[in-house]
Amino acid sequence: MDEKTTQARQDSCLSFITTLFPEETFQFVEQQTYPDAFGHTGTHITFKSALRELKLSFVSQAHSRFERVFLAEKTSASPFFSRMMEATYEDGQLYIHHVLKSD
Amino acid sequence: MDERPLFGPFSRKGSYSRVEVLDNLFADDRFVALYQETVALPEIDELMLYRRYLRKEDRVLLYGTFSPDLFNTLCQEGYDLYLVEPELNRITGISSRYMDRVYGLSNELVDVMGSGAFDKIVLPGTTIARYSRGELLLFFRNVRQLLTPAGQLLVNIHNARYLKTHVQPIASRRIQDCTLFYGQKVDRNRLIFNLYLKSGNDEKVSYAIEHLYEPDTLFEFAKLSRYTGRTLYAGKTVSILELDKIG
Repeated sequence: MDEKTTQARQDSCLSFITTLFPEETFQFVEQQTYPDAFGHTGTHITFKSALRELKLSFVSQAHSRFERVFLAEKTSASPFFSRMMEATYEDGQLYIHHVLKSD
Repeated sequence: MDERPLFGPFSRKGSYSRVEVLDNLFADDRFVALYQETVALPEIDELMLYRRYLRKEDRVLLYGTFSPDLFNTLCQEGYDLYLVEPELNRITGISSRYMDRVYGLSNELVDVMGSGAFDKIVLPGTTIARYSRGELLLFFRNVRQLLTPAGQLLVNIHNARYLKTHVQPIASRRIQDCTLFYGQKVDRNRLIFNLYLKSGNDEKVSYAIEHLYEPDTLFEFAKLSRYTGRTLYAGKTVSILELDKIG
């Protein structure tokens, strides 16, 4: 993935999470790509605000029409992430697919 | 030289410029549906298998081709199941009540539950056959982190000797108003699965490779990553193996 595409994806993520949490200011932390235990590669982009850490995990699909994106959050209340929703990333835009946690 | 494992009429179709060759059959929903049908194991009743070998108090992770209906049924019955499935088109049919148990990557599970959260990992169908010998060593090592100290793997494998004499050279099936042709061929220790469809101007071929293992070979490989195993069921077409994490 070229630098321009990577930046566009990070910008799209930032715009998405800012819409979800308009009162918080998020900063980009890191982007990492690595395989899981079964050999599937995911790209994980992390952002942080004063209240929470958000991780967006991108999983490419065989048909290449979109990527699946999983959004999870971590707060000071727990050492683990909590899943919030699944989205799709298509043509430079994130769309909510289904919500896993509504609070 | 084309290294794609297409054979016979599938190879001829793949050589035409009008025919799209998909290196990943999951790229087309009709291929996915046919593949899920053909990897089902007719010799065993999967619902009975899981009712027999899973305990409701165990936290169980499924990875591989798994019927959404079966997933819904077992969750409804109170089994503590989780599923890792990267492809969205393979989870169609899972009830929205259980979507919180479906993950795209095992990394996500570790983020949410921590390491060592599962009492059992089930590899339905013949999922393990997707891994070549080198990949299998890595697989056994990597999935250890997901298992509890006394965790187990439940694995199905093809009976290689049976397959070598009973492969389906070519057959057809109608899916979503489209006729699909498929065939199987055994090439040394690999089962090669070819598919073809034509729908209007849409014409595609694809393939999948499965690696054939004898139970003893699998036990030897697992031993290198500190598992010990046994055969739970040795049938005509499949064997069901159980591997315990040790050390």
